[in-house]
Amino acid sequence: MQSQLVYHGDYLLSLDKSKDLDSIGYYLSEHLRIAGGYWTLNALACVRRLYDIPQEKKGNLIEWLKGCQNADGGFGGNTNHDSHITNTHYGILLSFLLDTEVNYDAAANYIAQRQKPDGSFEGDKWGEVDTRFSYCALSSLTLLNKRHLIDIQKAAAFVKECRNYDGSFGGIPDAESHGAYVFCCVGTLFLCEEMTFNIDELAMWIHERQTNKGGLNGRPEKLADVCYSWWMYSALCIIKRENWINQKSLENYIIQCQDFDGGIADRPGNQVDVFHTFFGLAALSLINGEAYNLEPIDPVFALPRSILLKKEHVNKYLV
Amino acid sequence: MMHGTVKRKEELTPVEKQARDQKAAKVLEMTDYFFKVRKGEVAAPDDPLAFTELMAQLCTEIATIYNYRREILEKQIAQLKENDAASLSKLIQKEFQLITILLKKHPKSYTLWTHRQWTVLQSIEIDKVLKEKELPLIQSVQTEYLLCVKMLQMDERNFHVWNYRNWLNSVTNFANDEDKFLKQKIEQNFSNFSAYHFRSKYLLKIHNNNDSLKARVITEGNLGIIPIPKNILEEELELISQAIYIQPKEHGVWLYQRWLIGVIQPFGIRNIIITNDKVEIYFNKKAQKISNHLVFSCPIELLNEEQFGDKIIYKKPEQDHFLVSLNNRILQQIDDPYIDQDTSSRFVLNQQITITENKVYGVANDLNDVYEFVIQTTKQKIEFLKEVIKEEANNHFAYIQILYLYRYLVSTLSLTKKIDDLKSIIDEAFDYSQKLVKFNQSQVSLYLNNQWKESYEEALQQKGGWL
Repeated sequence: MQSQLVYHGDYLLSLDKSKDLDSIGYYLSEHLRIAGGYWTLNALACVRRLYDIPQEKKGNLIEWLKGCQNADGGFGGNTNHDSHITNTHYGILLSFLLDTEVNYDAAANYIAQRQKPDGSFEGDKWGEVDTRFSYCALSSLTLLNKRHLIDIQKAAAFVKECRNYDGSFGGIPDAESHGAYVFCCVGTLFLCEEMTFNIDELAMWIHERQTNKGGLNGRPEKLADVCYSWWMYSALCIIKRENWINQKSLENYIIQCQDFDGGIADRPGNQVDVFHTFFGLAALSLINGEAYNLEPIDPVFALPRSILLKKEHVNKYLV
Repeated sequence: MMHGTVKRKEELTPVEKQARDQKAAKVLEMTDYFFKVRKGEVAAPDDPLAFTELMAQLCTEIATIYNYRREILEKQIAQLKENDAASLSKLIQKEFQLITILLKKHPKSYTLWTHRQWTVLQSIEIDKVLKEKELPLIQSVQTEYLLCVKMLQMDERNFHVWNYRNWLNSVTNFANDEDKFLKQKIEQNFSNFSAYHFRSKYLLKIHNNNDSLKARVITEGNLGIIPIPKNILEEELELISQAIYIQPKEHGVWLYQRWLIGVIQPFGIRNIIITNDKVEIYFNKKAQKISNHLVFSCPIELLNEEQFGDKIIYKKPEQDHFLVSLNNRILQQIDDPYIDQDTSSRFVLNQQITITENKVYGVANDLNDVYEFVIQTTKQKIEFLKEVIKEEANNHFAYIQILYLYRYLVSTLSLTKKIDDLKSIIDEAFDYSQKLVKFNQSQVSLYLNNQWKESYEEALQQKGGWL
């Protein structure tokens, strides 16, 4: 049984060098490189090692990031990949973490063009709609101070259509309520300043997601996964119902998901990856950051609070 | 990212390493070439479809591959639409087959499901244009339901499949026995919350639309406006009662029962207070834009309406005598039956309240039979839950559920004039909330206990504020 925070700094700093991997995963996830960059750097920021990235490496990352932005203003998952709203959002977040600038006007325009007449957002010109994209849009445009480019009321109205009778939220109208979509929908409604739904019912639904081992599952009768610690605990912070789950048990579950050699997995004993490492750390930073000397990650924007405090126009959206 | 992958304890063997390195090299080589082709830096291969098929099999999750493939398919479809229906049909069918193979290893890939939806939409468009109806693609689309059945057998909670199936229902008109399918899924496994969830959506879609409600009013009279027809409601409640007996420790079964009882509870005015200069109207639930649905017999000025609240304040009008009404639009034969509020119920019963010299007179209910049905059904289920609680004394779900149902009952009773009934019910509910906190001190229990304590104290002082 673990009881303390493993040292994750080295695991994170050496991710790109670790070709000695057990699976082909690295090579098949090249479309996730921009997301991976965001998870890695954000996790480093959380454990206060962001500034340990060597200058040359940082320079290379910045150049690579800029190369991911396409002529249409959007970002792809890697250089030469087609634009998508999720990758555009990651690109913007990564630029903040790298303390650099990309073409924000073009990115904002790409995002604004994704809004459809019913207020929803498509992922790219091929038309898939999902509340993940609503969240990417509201978060990005708020961070860039370009909220006026979209119809915020309609954006909120669409997300409200995704609310279910159980008090929680899904990805599209009619979709089943799901823990990850709680983050997207609550984040979006918060940024739209439309928290006009029954908050206690949502908190009660989230309360039932906590399993015997302390971890949260995403839906009734599913297995716990460390990433839900972030998706739903952040929402509880936004609606100010943090103690509607057993925080100590959740904290303990995340600790158990660590690997002694660094990294965090979805469940105790499983293979680690940077995605779960980031979400585990970010959740811990909210539950009991001080005890672990973790930099608080903002529950709405999923970025270090210290970075967000520097942007005046964002301050009114910090919980 | 990895889900559900157990940690490998040993290093890869040299043979495994070699295999991995070979595959890695192949992936790098092919993706490098793919992106050069995409950018126009090298000539496209002779058979770009075959090439993208290869890429999709090698790196299934790279979305750009499918974007490029769709561009090629669009061109081919445009060409073949002119004069070669047979080849076009074959092309689309091969596309469905390819995606099916890829879905076997990647059943939860957004990229693949989006591509499949695109292919369905292409089929629908092509059918509109093609004159040779002997090869309608829409039949291929019909077999999509079989794919859904198969994939749900492998993973009955795969929301991509459920969403895709639901989407197919909206874009096609197949006489698909949704009722039977959903019921089967539930009977196969009472824990399948996805099935309950979609059943709730299905029931509302079928029974709570303008045409259906209008038809039901003709055959059932006033009871026809209840969102779910009486006989169906009773069947579903019976089904879920069984499920609760079988699996009382699972969240899902309680949610579905809660929905069934919740969806029939009406929204309405529970009190009106007249002061020197204001008219305050209180509702039994929170909602948005309620003012849109109130009708006054005289001009009146809106002073304050919360974005999401249960009261509205107007300026007191000049007239000594006026009426305020909330109407069921189906009974009034207006086309839009819905009041914009929490999605748990969009159900309104006629209320017409007369105000004379600052006194409020409640309304005549020509809808007593509806109120009676709702109240009796709710009470019956409360009795059922009391029995469950006897068997499951420490099951917090049962207590939370009974408290929810008591809340519904109070909310509906507050629209009628049955004050005494109301007080004794609040007593009972408060008692159950006290029992809950005795064995369960979660914030949820404390919250519910507080709520009922407030209701109890208000009732004692007769401050509940009911018509």
